[in-house]
Amino acid sequence: MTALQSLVTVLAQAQPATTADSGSVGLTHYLVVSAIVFSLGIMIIITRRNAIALLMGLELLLNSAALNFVAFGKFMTPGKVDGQIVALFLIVIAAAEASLALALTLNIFNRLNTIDVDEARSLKG
Amino acid sequence: MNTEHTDLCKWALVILVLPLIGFVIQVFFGKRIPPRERQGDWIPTAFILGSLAIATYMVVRLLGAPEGVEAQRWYPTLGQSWLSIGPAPAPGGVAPGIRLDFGILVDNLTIVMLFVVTLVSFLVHLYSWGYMHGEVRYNCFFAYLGLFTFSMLGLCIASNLLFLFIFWELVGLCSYFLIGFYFEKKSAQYAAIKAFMTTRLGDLGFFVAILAILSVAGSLEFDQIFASVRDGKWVAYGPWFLAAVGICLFLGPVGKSAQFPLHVWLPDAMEGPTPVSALIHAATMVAAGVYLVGRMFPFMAGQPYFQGDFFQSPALLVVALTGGFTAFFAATIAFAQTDIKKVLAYSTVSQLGYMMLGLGVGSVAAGLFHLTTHAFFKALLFLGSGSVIHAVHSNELSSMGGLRRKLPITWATFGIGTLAIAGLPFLSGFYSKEAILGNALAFAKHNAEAHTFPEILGYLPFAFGITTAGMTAFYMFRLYFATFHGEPRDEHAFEHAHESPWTMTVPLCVLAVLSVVAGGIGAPFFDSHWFEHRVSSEVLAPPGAAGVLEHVAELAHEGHTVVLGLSVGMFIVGVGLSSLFFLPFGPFYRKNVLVPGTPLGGLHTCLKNLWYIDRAWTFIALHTIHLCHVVCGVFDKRVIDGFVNFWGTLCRYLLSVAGTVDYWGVDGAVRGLGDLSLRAGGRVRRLQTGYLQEYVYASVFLFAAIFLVSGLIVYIRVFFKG
Repeated sequence: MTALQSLVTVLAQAQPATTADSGSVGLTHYLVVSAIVFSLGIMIIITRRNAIALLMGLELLLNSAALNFVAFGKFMTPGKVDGQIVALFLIVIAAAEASLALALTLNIFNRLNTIDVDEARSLKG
Repeated sequence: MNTEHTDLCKWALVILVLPLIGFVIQVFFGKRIPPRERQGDWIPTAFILGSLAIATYMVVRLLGAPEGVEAQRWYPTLGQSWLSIGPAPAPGGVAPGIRLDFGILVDNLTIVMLFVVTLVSFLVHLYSWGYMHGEVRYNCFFAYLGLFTFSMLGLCIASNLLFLFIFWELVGLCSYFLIGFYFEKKSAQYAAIKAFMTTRLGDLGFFVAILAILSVAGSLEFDQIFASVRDGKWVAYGPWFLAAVGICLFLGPVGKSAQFPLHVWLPDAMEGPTPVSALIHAATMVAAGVYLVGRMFPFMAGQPYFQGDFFQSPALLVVALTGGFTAFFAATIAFAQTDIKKVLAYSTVSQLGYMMLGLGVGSVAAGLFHLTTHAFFKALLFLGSGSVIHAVHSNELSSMGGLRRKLPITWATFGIGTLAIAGLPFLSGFYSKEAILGNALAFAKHNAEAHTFPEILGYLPFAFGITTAGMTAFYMFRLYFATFHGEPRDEHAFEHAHESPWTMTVPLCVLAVLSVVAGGIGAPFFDSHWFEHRVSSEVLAPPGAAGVLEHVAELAHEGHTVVLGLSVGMFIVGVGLSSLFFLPFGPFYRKNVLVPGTPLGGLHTCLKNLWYIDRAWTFIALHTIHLCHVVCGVFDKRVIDGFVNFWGTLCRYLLSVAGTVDYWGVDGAVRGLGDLSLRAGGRVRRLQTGYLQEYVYASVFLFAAIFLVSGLIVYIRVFFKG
């Protein structure tokens, strides 16, 4: 996770080319990457039965959102660091939320003796 | 008509009110008045004695005046009408509409009636001290007697038909009380009801006549009624209307005075105590009908009355025929009775028929004279029979016989009474009966000359009268001999028989004396024809009455000897035949000639069953009531219940419709709503599978959909804008 985040930071420090030539990286590329990561995250959440895997997918989601913010920050408000500040917030939020989710997972395990989310369906209507 | 001198009327009012006061005191304080054990019986007696004293004074004045007293009328109404229909009178003018007032009329007829009523009432009161001694409700008896006397006196002094009718009904009510005095006995209860109902039936006719008179004459005062007849107001309604109303009016006396066919109540009325029988059903109440016919004589005689011809009225002929037939009919029944009071009851019916006969043949004086003499000797006979009953404690002839040794005073006085009723010359009954028969014969002859009615009809009253005279002598002497002569039929009763106390024998003696001397007031020997002139100066003296009356009087005079001979002959025949059968030395003594199967025995059975008239009335009454039952029942079930049921069914139908609407409509909406939410909930519930991942999937899907759609919308807008 931290590796990924440092990757994002490095990518953010890359100066955007003021002239858009065909081979340079534009906003669109960042957004596409963010979208792909987002959909991957969604797919993981939807399909994986392991609760920890779920959490991993959740991280992916959050990070894609952060990437999105940074991309927009870089290309929409150049010279300002608003996007990056939000990314920092997101990192904190993700951390807090991860700890919460882990606590929940622990409780589910204590209750159901498994971390298969398919078993946690007592709210079925 | 005298309206300035009203002193006699005021005395009459006093006479009327005294018995009423006696009644009120007796009702409220009777039991508490000393001496205790007498329960205040002397109070009403004292008041009646007061009335009697005043009535005697009035009679004395009557005797003193040459043509009787002049009639007086007085209205004690303090200026206001008792009842008025129509607008108020203009000041000083005559009032239109109808005025009914309580008025008092006093003339010769009234005075005679007042005297008779108060005298007999007083004697009966005195008699009851002895007779009713020790009976239950002793004080109540005297109260009733006082009320009755008040009612009868009111009837006699009323100056218009309405008040006469009111007192008429009151008298009927008192009769009901007194007949049903021993109401513990069922027979007494039935007898009282029978009396009331039968007289009521007659009163129906009376009331119809009152209504007719009121509508034609516009007033119910006697002089106004007679004036309306004289002035020809009745002619407009057709020739038979007046006679028809007269016959309707006569229906009241048919009931009250026990004429055929409404005579059936009088024999049963013997259930009451004997003093009651003497007072009411011999002397006074039953005489009320005779009094009414006498008072309304000008009306019944029709317009010819005012030309002095009394002999043309169909109504009066009906009266005479009914009276004659009743006399004959009742006498036949009296032959077969074994109860001493029943014999006397039928004898009363018969004599009442005589009175009606006298009135019907046009002689008011004869009819009313017979009323007076009959009151005396019939009261005497009843009180005497009461004395006998008191002695042997039984009403039946089978307990009597040979009582003359044990009850000498009763024997003597009863003998005088029997002689009077049978018509022994020089006794009162002879004179009155002879007057009636003489007038009947005169009527028959006059009718034969004038050809008003078929000749046979004219002779019928006389025929009835003369036969009945003989029959009366026979059965009365049968009674007399069987009771007092011969051998006792019941030794036990004979042993215990004793003469009655003075309170019972004194009235007997007084009445016996009167039965003898009362003839004097009409006796031709004294050449006063007092009664002829004195009674009803107003009724009997139409102005300009000339030719016909005189002629009939001549006829009466001519036939005088014939009638005399016939009536004396009948008396001898009757007494003779009777003594043959009932005196010990008679050849047929105690021989039973009445064997059933023989014609005589068959007749006897028929008479014993009272010619089956009672049974006929019962049959009619029962079936009428049954018919009413059926009709009313059907009406009630079909019509009334049908109506009610219809509305009920209608309501039920409407309510069921409302119920359905309520169930399906209103409740349906409510239920539908609930059902809807249930189903919707059911559907929606399916979304909640409990799988987290499916929730995520769904939300992502939804978001994507929203974005797509909104983007599509924006794109379209931009596309179409540009």
